Order: sequence, then C-alpha cells, then structure tokens
Amino acid sequence: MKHFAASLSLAFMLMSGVASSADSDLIIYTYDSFAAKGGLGPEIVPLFEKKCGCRVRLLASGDAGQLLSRIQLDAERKKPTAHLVLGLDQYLWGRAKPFLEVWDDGWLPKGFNKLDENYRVEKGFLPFDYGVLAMMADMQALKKAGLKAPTSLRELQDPQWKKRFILQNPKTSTPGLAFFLLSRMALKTEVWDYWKRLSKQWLLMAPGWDGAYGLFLRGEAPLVWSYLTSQAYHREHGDMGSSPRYQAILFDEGQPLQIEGAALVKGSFRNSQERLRARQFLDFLLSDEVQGRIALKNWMLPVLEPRAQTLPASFRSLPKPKKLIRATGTPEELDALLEHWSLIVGTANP
Amino acid sequence: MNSGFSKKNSLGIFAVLASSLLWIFLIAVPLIFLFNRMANDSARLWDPEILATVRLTLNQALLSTFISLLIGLPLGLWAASGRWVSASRIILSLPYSVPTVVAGSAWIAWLGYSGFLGGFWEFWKLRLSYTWGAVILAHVFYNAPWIAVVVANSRMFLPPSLLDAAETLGATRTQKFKFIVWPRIRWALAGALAQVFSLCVMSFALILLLGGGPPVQTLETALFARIRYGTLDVSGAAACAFWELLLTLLPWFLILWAQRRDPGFTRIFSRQFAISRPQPGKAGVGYGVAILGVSALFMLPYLATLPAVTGFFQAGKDFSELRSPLFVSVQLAFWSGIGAVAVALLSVIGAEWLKKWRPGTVPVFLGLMGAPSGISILVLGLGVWLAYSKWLDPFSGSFVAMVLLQIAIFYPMALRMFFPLLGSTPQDLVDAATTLGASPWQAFWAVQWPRWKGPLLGALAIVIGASFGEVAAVSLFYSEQLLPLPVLLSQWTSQYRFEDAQALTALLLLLSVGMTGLVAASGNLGAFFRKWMLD
Repeated sequence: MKHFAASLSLAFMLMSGVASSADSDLIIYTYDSFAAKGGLGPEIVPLFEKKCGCRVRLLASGDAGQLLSRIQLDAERKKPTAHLVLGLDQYLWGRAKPFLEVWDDGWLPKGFNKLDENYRVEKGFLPFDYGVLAMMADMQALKKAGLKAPTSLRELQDPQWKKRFILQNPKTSTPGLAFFLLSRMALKTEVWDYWKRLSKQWLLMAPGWDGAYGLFLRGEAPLVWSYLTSQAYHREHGDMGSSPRYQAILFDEGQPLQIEGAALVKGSFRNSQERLRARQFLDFLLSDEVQGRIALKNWMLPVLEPRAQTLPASFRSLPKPKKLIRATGTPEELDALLEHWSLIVGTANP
Repeated sequence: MNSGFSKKNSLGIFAVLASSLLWIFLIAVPLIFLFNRMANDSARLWDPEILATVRLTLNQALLSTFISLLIGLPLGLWAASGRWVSASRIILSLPYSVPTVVAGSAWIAWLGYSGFLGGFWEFWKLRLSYTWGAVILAHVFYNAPWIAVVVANSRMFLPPSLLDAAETLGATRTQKFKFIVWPRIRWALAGALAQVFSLCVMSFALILLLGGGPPVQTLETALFARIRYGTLDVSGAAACAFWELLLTLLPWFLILWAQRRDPGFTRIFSRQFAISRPQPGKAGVGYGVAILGVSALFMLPYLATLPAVTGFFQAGKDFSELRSPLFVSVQLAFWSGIGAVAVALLSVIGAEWLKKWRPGTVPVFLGLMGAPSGISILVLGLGVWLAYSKWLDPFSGSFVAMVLLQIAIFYPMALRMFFPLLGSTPQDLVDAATTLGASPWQAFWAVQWPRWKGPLLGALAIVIGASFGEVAAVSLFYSEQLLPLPVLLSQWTSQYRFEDAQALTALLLLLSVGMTGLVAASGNLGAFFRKWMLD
C-alpha cells in the first residue's frame, strides 16, 4: 500500500510538473530534434530570452509533417497554442499557408532582403536553413562489391544496383518526396516507367529518413538517400583520411533543395506585444548568432550567405551540386501525383 | 426491484455503469468524432488503393494466424503435459511483451545482410528481410507462443479423471483428443486465434521495419501514411480504420454466433474452471526440461539486440538524459497496467451481474467491451484528440491522456484473460467456507483468489510489458517534460545517435520482458521452486 501511495504521489508530481502554456511569453511548435537536448533549440533559445527579457517555450511535435497536423487541428478547435511554427519546409508550406500569417502589413524580417532568391518561398515563410538532398554511399561496401558509385538517377535501374539502395516513402517523408519530385522533373514523361522499374530495385523504402539512415549505417545497403551534410556529420565524427568511408554522391540530373522555415500562426496573438515578440524571434533566426550555429547543431546549411570562416571545414569541403532543383506545384497537384505513384509502386501493383 | 438489492447488486450496477461510462468516454465518443469526419466522403471506402490494401492485410493476417495455429496448438498441448507448466507458461508469455520496435530490430539482425547471418544470405543469394516472408515469420514468433499459452491454460483445467476413465474404456489418443480435450479447449483456442488475427491485421512496427515499405503495406501503415505526413487525410484514415475494424471484429462476431449455436458451450464453459487448481502433467524431468527449452526458443531472436546495451557502459557516455524518460515510462506502465486490469475486472463483474439480471445482454455487453481490441491505437488516438482537445491540451503533454489511451487499448487483452473465469465460481465451495464460519473476505481468499491470481497477474504483466514499447499513444501526447523512452528512441535516431538508440532498444527489451517476467512469476515462482525442491 505504501508503494501504491508513493507511486500515486509521483504520478501527480509528474502531471503537475508539466509547465503550462501560460508560463511562457512565446510558444513555438518545432520538430523533435530541434528541441531535444543537443539540438539547435536549447542553444539559441536562452540567447533570445536574454535579449527580449521574455520566456520562450519550445513544444516538440514530432517531424515537419506532424507540425502541420498540429496547426491544422489547432485551427479546427479554434484554440491556437503556439505563436510560431518552426521547421516547415517548402513542400508543406502550401498546405500550411491557410493557418499562418503572410505579413500583409508590409513588415519583413531583418535580413530577409539579403536572402538568395533560391531560398525564398513566399511572404510569411521565413527560411532559416536549407539542405541539399543527395545519395550517401558507403565506399567500403561499394569497394567490397566491386562497384562504382552511381552518377545519375537512371543508373539506379541497372541490375548491379538491385537491392543495394534505401529510399524513403514520398508519402511519409520529405527527403522521399524530394527524390520523387527530382525524378519527375528530370525524367518528365518517362517518370512512371522509371518508378515501375525502380520498384523492383530498392532494398526498402523506409517511412522516414531516420529509419533509412540507421539501416544504412548498420550496413544493410551501400547507398541511402539522405542529405549532402550527412557527409559533414561523418567528417566531424572521425571519418576522415585519404579514403573516408561515407561519401555524398551527386547526380547528373541535379540535387533537390529542402528549405526549412518559420512562420507566425494566424489567430494566436492576443495583443501587438505578442506579435512583436514573435517577429523579433524571426529576425533573430537570421542573425549571425543563429546562422553561425546551424551547421553543427542542426546539420543543415545556413540561408544567409555564410561568411566562409564561420562554416566548419567539413561543410566547406562538401561537393558542389551541379544543379539545384526546386520543385513547384500546388498541394492538390502533389496529392494527385502521389496517388498515381501509389498505384504504380504501391499495393495495387504488388 | 429496489427492495431486493443487496450489496452484491450495488457492486454489479456500479461495475456495469462504470465500465460502460469508461467505454463511452474512451471508445465511443472518439470514434463518433472520427467517423463523423468521414460521413461526407464515404466514397473513400471504395478507393482502389485502400481496397487493395484490405486484400493484402487479410491475406497476411490469415497466413500468419494459420501458421501460428499449426505451431501453437501442439506446443500448448505439449506444454500442459509437462511438470513445470507454470514456468513454461511464463516463458511462453514473454515474447508477447517484447516491444515491436525491439522485435523488428532483432529480426533485422537475423535476416539482414548486416546481421549475424549476412554472409549466409549473401552466399545463397537469399533475401528474406524486407519482404512479406519476414513479416509473417516475425508474426508467427510473436503469436504462436501466445496460442500455446491459451491452449495450455485450458488443457490444464481438464480433470485427469476424465482422461483416465476414457483410457480405461479403451479410447485411443485420437478419440481422447476428439471427445475430451478438443471440446474443452476449442473456444479458448478460437478466442486466441481471433486475437492473433486482430493483432496481425493491426500490426504496425513490424510491417514498417521488416516489410520494407511499398508494396508491403497493410491498413495500419496505410492509415499512418494518411495522418502522419502533413496531408492529414482523416477521411482516408477513417476509411482504412473502418475496414480494419471490420476485419478485426469479424472473427469475434463469428465466435459469438457459433457459441450461441453450440448447445454444449455453456455446459462446458461453466465446468471448465469448476476445479479450483490447475492440474500439472505427470511427465518426467527430462520431458519438462525439453518443454522449457522449446518454450524459450521463441525468445531467442530478441536476444540479438541485447549486446547493444553495453553502449550504456562505454567510457565518457553521459546518459543522465535517460533518467527522466525512464521514470515517465515506468510510471506510465504502472498506471496503464493497474487501469487496464481494473477496467477489465469491472467488465467481468458487470457481466456476472448482468447474467443474473438480463442474461441476453451479456454477449452484447462483452462484445462491446472487447471491441477496442480491434481498433488501431492510431485511430483511437486521433479520435481522442478530435473529441477532447478542447479540454485537454495535447500540445502541453498529458500524462493522463497517455494513460487513458493505453488503458483503452490494453484492457481488452486483460478482459480476454479473465473471460474464462466468468460463470465458473465454485459456489458450493464458497458456501462451504461460509458455513464453516469464514468471512466473505476469507472465503474469497481461500476459494476465489487461487483461480484469479494467475490471470490477474498475467494480465498485469502483459499490459506493463506492452506499455513500455507502445509508441502511438505516447507520440500523440508527449512533451519535452513528459518524454517516454520510445519517443526518446525516435529523437536519438533523428539526431544521428544510432548507437545510443540501439542501446536504448536493448534497454526497452530488458525492461518490458523483465517486468513481465517478474510480475507473472511473482504468483507462480514461489510455488514452482517449492515444488521443484520437493521433487
């Protein structure tokens, strides 16, 4: 009974220990790895709090897709919790836009005008970092199999690559969607035939990047669709020398771009003070203090023309993509494409 | 009606009302909210992609259940004939508590090119990983021991005198099985098969990890794809949920229908537990050891993940961040276990009372109370979110919501374990104890408790074990301050901390299986060792 009572009191402590939203001046929805210990969030939030003299709370909400689900459900229950959402990308922006503010009063974050056109999506979406998607190769495994890394999307159809690469599902993962859109832009009318053939080639199509990369590191396949900056991660963690094991591979067709952004949540501000604070945070995201930390804390690239010396050598030595691809299209077009893709490679055609 | 109400009646009414209210609150309202979203888009039910997924889900579940039956039935009969039947039941129930994330990771270690047998697979150009074959193999290893446990439980309560009498009358082994054993075990077996089929239909992590993605898909993964990534296609998810519900409930309805048509059902069922203690087999020590060995084989695949636990002991590693998630997970498992067992108990007490008052309502009551075992936690979680988010702020993290959702999902499992005890109260023994001057508590302790102890602790153990590895409910209602271990696992993998994640997987296995074994054994271990010493 004593143990039962102790457990009961501990559970109540747990429940009451959860900070309520009312304790914070600025609430931000973000993805897990940003808010987690060792991520970018815990590093930059105290800096901002010191600047503004306010309390900021990060609410981790899974991945980018789940972030969108949460703001959608918040809007549905007419009770927005967060003032700001951080971590949506350009693919999700079209769907998220109805729930976000588009800066129609002429306001622009400081530094917004300095952004490269490549990274701008639309007013209301503040890009703060970006990633270049690429195939990562385990050079040791390739050498063992007597293979040379592929140089194009088309090459993945060759018999030598059968069951030797891991992709992500475009319906559940942003990198997967980027691969699909790259194939569509590069192969145009041939794209569906390509996927028909490719569906017999991949070892597995994981639901998310983390699962795919974990299996790649275990040695399940010598190739995985990932980020160019994955190479930098391995360099920073001791994979160096004249023939490093993990290498990013560029395709002749180009590399897709993923731009991560932050935006203000519509209807979340009770007064102008709250909006001002949220806007200050957007300004802060483009500051040197944040941009200089993105590489090693978020394993992405900063959007503001980095001063070369601030980027670590592992990032400066990344291969330069021949072409950066930015896919366009409305959410409805994307839905139709993915539905067709499902019929080509999915359950209807096992 | 009022005049005749005793304390027993009050308890019965309370049990019916409390369990019904909980059912309405936790199951009915969320589902109404969810299906309401689908009402204007019922055409989605006939979406060719969803229908193709229904077909694949059905084929996979049927095949997995059939192979599990082929292994589980003889194994259960064999296990019941051994002398250390309680120990083999505990060992056989352990695989059921292995978190599916752990199971998936373990099977990759066996079947993948990077695993122990990688060279073998590569040499023979064989590939089982990331195929339907891998999924079915994992399902069979998960479920066959469960069928064996249920069969062994039923077979153990068969009075040996019946078999002895048949033997004296010259019955063959086949005749003894056909006329004495089979009638006693068939309904328990049918229930176990229905449960296994439901679990295979709702299987999620194993499909994602071992199936390798499209075209290996089931309704649950199709549903996940519809609510996970931005599109929030609730109509499509609800259509998947509808088919999933239909597939999982169908076997239960078939069982209820068949039981009603079986005149011998009530007679057999009420006698099944008329003896208060199970009857262990008489076979020798070697035979008993062999049974224990074979039972343990089903845990073997998962041990592949254990070496990774050494990751926690590497020099310079700081795992202080593990403390709080571990604490949250232990609390969650404890409360979900207590809650699920309590709701299941309320349902059984309620059904007992209804049986006296309105016997015809019992199958409906139990059918509805058991229904959540056919509902995906993803669907129910989304429903809870839609229904209660006005009052409950999921974004701030809610321990209560996590517990309630886990209770809703796990109590039917406990209910099915209590189900055989229904209507089997040995009233003559209770009356005898009372006549001899025992208080109601003493009578309960002496007569009822020995029958209830096993299922109660077994149910508690299984729910606690399952709670440790449960991902869907916790991922809907966690926060940075309320972070259970499975969510931490996903955070570490997204931060390139794959080695730490593997160590955490091993820790999850130790926790879930350890807790299950400990709780299940607490009721049996003492007796087992006493008997072993005496033998």
